[in-house]
Amino acid sequence: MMPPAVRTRALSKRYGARVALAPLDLEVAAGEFLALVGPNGAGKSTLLLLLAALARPSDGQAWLFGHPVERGPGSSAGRRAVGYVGHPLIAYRALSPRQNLEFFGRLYGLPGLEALVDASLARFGLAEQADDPAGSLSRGQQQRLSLARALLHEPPLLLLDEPFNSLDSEATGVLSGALRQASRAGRTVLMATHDLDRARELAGQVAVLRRGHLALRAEAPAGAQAWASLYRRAAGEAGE
Amino acid sequence: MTATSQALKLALWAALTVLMLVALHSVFLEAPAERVMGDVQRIFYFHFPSALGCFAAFAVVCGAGVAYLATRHLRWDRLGRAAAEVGVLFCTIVLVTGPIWARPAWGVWWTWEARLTTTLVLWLLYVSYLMVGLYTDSREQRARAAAVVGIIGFLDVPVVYFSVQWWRGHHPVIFGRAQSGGLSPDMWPTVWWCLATFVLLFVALVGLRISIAATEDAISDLEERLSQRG
Amino acid sequence: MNYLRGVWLVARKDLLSETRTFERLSSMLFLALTILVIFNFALDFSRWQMADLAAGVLWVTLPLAAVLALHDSFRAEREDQALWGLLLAPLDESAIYLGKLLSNLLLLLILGALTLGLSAVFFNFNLVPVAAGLGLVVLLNALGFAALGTLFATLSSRARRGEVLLHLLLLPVAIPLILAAVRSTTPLLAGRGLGEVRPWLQLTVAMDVIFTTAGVLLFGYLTEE
Repeated sequence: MMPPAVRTRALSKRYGARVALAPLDLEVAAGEFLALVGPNGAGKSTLLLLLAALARPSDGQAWLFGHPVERGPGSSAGRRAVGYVGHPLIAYRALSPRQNLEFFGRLYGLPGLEALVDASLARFGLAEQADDPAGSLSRGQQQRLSLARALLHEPPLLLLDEPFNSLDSEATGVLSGALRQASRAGRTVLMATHDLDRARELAGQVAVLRRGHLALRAEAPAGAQAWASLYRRAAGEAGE
Repeated sequence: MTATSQALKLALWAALTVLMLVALHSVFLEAPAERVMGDVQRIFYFHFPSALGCFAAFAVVCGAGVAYLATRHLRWDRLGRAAAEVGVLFCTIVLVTGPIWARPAWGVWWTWEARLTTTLVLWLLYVSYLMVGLYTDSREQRARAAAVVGIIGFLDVPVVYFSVQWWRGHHPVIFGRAQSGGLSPDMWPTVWWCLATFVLLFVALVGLRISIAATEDAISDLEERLSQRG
Repeated sequence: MNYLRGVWLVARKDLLSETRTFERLSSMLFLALTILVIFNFALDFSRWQMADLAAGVLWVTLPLAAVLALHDSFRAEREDQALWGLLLAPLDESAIYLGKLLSNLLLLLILGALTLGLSAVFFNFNLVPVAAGLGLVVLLNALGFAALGTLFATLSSRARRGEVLLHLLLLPVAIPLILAAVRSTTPLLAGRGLGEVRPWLQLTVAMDVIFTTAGVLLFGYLTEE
């Protein structure tokens, strides 16, 4: 019996008096695609940062595939399980996509790196810009680079923070395709998003966060109407 | 604030006042005049405990920093900042009383002798600690940054002390070592009174500063909550 | 992921990046040169012993120029949060710190060597007989400076007006380093042997150990969100 991909117990984060995430108990089974929805400030980004071990919880704990999420000496092995895509590019502006992927690939100790990077660049449609500085790429291309970086080491868990933000329709299509592929390959995906259409398209599960609290956790409904009303009910705001 | 803690605070301030009066009496009326320097030497009674208070304060800053990093309770950050402020205050006392003594004793306002120099460097270290807050955005960020700076600063203290000692000659008033210019035995009671006063003063000032900081934090917490609700 | 390999990968990436534009190195060197020239106008070299003066000038110039390059240590990482990429990798945080320290150290060593060369020209002293000794002094001091600077740069890279913060934090703490450096350099320039400056060198080594250890232990706390 495989341990859940994600399990949290009373996981919380405060910044001063501001509760970014109230104590959260969440479980995500391996292979699920969970959409995290909610208005701004709901705690979606915070949750993902905590799971990626980029932020330290104020309280509580999280486990990924049974291993505790932590930093400090000896914890580095657990990070292989995670691929994270967030608002920032998380790559070096001055380096090309190829150089970026090669650098991060080396950090993960991936064998056959050159071929791997070539394949990744091709898969995400970055072959043409492979040797241009990442800073000169369009937003859509940068997002794809970010995803390429996150998937390079083939992590079983993908954490995505609003990946469809400010993407044009072409880039959105490429990204959706890549995510669908990842999910079909058995990866667990947690995706925070405002884009209810994408969430409906891709997710099998949904969790609604509101003001740091988990308002709803359910199977993803079918149909746009159902999504909109679910969102409205749980988040207490008009659907988008 | 409970009734007992209020009573304790009152007792502390009362004791401090009494002690100060006793110490002042001791310094100016009881202690004998120094043979060579005369009454100017009395400044030592303020100078020496301030210097000790300085070191103690910075030890507290370091400890508070470690405690904060381990527990993430902001109260440790408040303690660290309070101790640093009081430490800088005591350092300033040393840096001001030093020249007041040096001028009649040696004819110069400032001399780069070991202890004054060390104190000046410490003053710089801990003022920079206090300035960290100007460059950070959130309380947690500042607390973390300050903790690291405070720990490094304290690790620097012995290094500064030794390097400056090697670089320069001795401080004129040394006791506990077989050097000339020590204290005569009838000066010791005064030293102890002053020491006790400064210890109490340190505790009182730090306590006061912490409660001010706690109130400030509570106010900004309330403001935060109000804006969240809105 | 082998720890040392991780350190090396981080250092290597920084050094390779630097070779693109030599931005950090060139600004640092230019500033050092300018400061040396200003000293020439500020001090009357005819009235002082060259050895006393040169050491002081050197050890004001080097730290001030070095702070410039140190602040940039994490600029590329902060820009698009590439630092998160490093933190997400199966790499110990302290390996990131040491990798950065290594690349900073190399830059500071280049700064030191070139500044020494320039000083030899400006102050008219023969560098060759003292090169080894001075080289050791520069190495040991650059290490301490890099250790402190890398740690504080983590802080300053995150702050607004961070460069100011780095100056405020680094320079006071580095005072004993600078003091030891000057006390080591003056006798060497006056033709005395390394034996005479051994206590100061030992103090510098002690500082290097203290500050590097502190950096390794504390770096992780500064990289959390």
